[in-house]
Amino acid sequence: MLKKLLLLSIAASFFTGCVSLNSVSLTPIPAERSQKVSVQKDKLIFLGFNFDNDFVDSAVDDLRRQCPQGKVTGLLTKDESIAYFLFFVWKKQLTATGYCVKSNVASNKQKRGAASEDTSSDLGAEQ
Amino acid sequence: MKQKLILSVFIFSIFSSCAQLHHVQIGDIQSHPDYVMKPFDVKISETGVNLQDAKNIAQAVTQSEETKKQASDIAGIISLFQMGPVTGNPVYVKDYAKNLVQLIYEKCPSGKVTGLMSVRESRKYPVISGEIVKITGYCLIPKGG
Repeated sequence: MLKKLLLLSIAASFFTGCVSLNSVSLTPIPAERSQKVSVQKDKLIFLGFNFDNDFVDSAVDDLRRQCPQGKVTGLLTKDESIAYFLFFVWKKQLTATGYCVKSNVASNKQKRGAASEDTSSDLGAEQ
Repeated sequence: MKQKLILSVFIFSIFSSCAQLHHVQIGDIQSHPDYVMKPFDVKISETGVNLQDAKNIAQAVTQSEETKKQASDIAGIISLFQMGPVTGNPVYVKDYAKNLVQLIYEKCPSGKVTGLMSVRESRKYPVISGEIVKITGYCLIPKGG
């Protein structure tokens, strides 16, 4: 019985992951939250040998593709590290979830001048 | 043959860098039918120093017990002035990321930027490291403009 318990403990320590949260960020949440968009990027690292962090580079493109004619906002970005197999294997994981707010293309075309100004001020605030 | 292999492994470990990711943040992404999205990226870096590595190397190369103790004391004293939450190794240029916004404006003179992703990472070498801030995003350019 004790042997089985010991074996179970060893197996659990090998196959469970310890998660640590590195950073979280959030952008303003919109009133219209009907369409959710999300992306998850991860990379396995063996024995700490990691030569680049390029796995995060495509996250923005993936989110943009899910909302081609609108604005992705209310973005919650989580950056986590998960350790497996007694810290021999690490997984770096980036998760971003947000909402796609569709812009009314027709009305934008009618108010092109005003829309340009709005976009300018919105983007200015983002910086 | 064995010596050459050890030397190769040593050289590889000296000259290859381990990348460590500290922080990622993604901003709002605006797509607009009247604008073309042109990607851009800005990267700035400063040299960080790992005092623990420096101390270990200094202790490894010296035979004198007194010098070993002095190296330990110096590292201890310096580390007293570098307390608090940090990402990566300490750098000695405190405002190296100061001109980041200016660099973004240079890449996108219109100032209409969206989809900003900021990445804080380190490239670790023995003793020193590259403390990097990378910003990627899109510059909105009016169609036909």
